[in-house]
Amino acid sequence: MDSVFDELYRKYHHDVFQFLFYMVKNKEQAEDLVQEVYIRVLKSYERFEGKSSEKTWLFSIARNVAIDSFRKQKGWKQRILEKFDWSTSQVKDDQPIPEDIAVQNEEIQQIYKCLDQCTVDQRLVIVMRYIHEFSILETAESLGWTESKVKTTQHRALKILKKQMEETIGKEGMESEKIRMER
Amino acid sequence: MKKSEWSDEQLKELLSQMPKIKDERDPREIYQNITIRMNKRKQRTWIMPSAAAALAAVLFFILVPNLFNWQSSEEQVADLANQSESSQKISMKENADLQETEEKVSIEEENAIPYTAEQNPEVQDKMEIRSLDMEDLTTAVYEEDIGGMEVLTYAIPDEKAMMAVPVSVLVAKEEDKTKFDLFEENMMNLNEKEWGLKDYFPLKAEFMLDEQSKVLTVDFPVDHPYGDGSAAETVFNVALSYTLSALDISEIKFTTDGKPGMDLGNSGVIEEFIPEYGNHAYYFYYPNETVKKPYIVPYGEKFSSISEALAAMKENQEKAKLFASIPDDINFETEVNQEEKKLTIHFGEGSVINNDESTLHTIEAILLTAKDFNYQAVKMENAKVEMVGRFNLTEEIKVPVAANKRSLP
Repeated sequence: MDSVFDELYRKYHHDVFQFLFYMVKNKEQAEDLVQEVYIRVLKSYERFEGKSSEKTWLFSIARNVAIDSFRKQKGWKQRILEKFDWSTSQVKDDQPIPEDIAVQNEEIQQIYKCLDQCTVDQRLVIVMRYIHEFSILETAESLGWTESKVKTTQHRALKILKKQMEETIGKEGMESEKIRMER
Repeated sequence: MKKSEWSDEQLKELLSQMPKIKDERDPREIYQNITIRMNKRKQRTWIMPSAAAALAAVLFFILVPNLFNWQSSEEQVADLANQSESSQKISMKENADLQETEEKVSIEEENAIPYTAEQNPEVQDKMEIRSLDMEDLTTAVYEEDIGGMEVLTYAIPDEKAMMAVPVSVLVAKEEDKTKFDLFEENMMNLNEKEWGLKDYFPLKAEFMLDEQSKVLTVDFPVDHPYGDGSAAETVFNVALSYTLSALDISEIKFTTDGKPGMDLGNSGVIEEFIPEYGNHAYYFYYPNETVKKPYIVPYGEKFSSISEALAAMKENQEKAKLFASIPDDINFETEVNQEEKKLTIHFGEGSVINNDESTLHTIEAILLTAKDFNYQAVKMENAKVEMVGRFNLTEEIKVPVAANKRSLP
């Protein structure tokens, strides 16, 4: 096996896979996409100059792969509509909750669903910052953003999540609220 | 309804509790998938462009000939219009082409219905179509082809400098220029390489013609290449002779750097050049395999009579890579009328005279040889066909004006 692949697999495979999974919310698709990440990495590995860390470089590629897959999923009609209305740039899907999530408690399931309400950018930040526990700097490097953009996007994303959590939990009644209050 | 309140911290904590998701596949399986996909992609990268290129080439080949046909059919229509107005401007060549087509059509339309374009539009259509894909298969320049142009002949050696091929070009006459001026000027424009011949012109010499006495002075530089070996010398003699034969010149003087005389190798120093042309047999020369039309080239010893020359034309001249210009299956007797400068060729029984390209070129070789022997017309008798290409064998055929017509860029 390729030594580059070997090393990358050992160091980052599960992280990249998980990142892709939370972005596309589908295990099979994430499996496909992680392969795509390797293909792009292996093709351009010589060009990796070490300016950024290996990890953020790898994640920036993974992010591009994820965004490309969203573009492919969406039809051209949606894409054109999106050009006129930036606020609708959300990727919705009605896929059933994967097993890994379904076995978790209700709040986890809730927040997993609420992720759908965020824009792609917001979701990128949420996944990187809180699920993968990237620093602001790492997130900014991976996304090619400034740190302040990361901060504002993260702030907006949390606000949306908060609102969504409150609405859905409100709808589903007291039970889930109790759980929260037990804490 | 009570609004539950979530702090940022609570949300962050909840997010950090999100389950770890693992790819359960074996890394080897993943690696295999990757390599397969990378190879596939490589293939795709060249399949698409090459498919597109192939398609483009196909389209190109379909469209380009159509474009040309379209243009030439336009021209044809214009020509027909010109002709009906009996306009003076119509060039002799196109005129001849049309005559030829008419003749061809009339041969084919054997039901002997008198042909007129107005009465039979179908025939006219056919004629137009035929004239599109028919090119003039003759090689020489004929009187009716000149159409007020000036004919210039340059004898150009072949690649191996074994003989000189007279090549004729038609150029537009210009009022303030003599034929000699045009000759000198166009010496620069010859496409020898493209014609499969040796790059020979312009000659490394200066030409000065005294218009009064018709004495031509050719001034060579000291380091001229024409005396380098006997082959170069011979071919120079032939080339210059045939080149100057078409110009009206009484005497040719050679100088070197202004001083009389020119050193021509074995021949020694020459002060006066006597062109040697005439009384040669003409053979076929194919410079390369792609050429369909042969050059018809004078070569070899001088003959004392035309019947000897014509007999020699049945033999290949292997030394100079020349082919016999008269096939074995054509036999004939010759009869000469020196007073009227006419030659009669009486084909023997069993001679194969067909209306095809090779017979056409044989007739041209005979005509050019007749011209070399100073005849003005040739009558061919006892042929089984009336027409061979543009030649009407029932009538006397005038000898060509010059051999091997080529066009200048």
